[in-house]
Amino acid sequence: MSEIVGLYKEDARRMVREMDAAINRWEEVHAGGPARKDLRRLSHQLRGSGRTYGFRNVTRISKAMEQIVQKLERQHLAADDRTRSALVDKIKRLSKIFQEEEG
Amino acid sequence: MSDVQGCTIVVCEDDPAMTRIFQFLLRQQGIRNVFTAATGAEALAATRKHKPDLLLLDMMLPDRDGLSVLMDLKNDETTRAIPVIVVSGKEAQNQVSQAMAAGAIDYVIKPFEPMELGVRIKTFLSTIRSASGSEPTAGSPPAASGGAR
Repeated sequence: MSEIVGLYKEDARRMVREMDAAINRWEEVHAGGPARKDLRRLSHQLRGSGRTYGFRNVTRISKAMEQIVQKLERQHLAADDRTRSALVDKIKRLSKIFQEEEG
Repeated sequence: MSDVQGCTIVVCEDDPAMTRIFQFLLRQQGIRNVFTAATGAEALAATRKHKPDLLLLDMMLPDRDGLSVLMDLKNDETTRAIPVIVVSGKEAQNQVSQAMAAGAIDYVIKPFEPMELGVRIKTFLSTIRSASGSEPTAGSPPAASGGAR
């Protein structure tokens, strides 16, 4: 398993960078554009793969992100600064996990 | 030698990290004939071409919903008998029910325990081989009537 975990970490770092790029296009997230779809897809994928590869906290954080994006889609949550901050915080936590793994 | 070594599997998954783990698990079980698809269209094409002993199918695909892929396969007499295990992050009960009603033999929710899934796949393939009394014949396993979640 360890032989593919290294590849997973590389994938996950790239995905977190893509999340970061998406959140920086907040207007698109707000308007339901490609950036929101990217956030949904990436959080969904990391939620599914995280614990499968032994990273339980990645699944936990990504699941919370996916739920936020789903609430945005259903308009159960406003696309305001508070929501953005919550997503940014989670992306930072994911980034930190894989930076620590790198180090 | 593994008794499922000659089996053919198609994996339909758009996340490369998950595709890699499926390939790893199947290789661990001695299964070498693994074809991958990253979209619903590719899954249909690969399944029709290779007539696998088993299809592992994600529900959230870039081009279409996995459920519609499953329904297309079950509506096609050349692929109807091919067993499908859905492996999805969609965990709502209605998603599971819809997939099982459409003909999936099992529904595995992501994230999953890799070794457990590997063993479940091997057990399933061994069972169909025993039931047919020979090597699994691609595309013609006994019709499954359901499956444990």
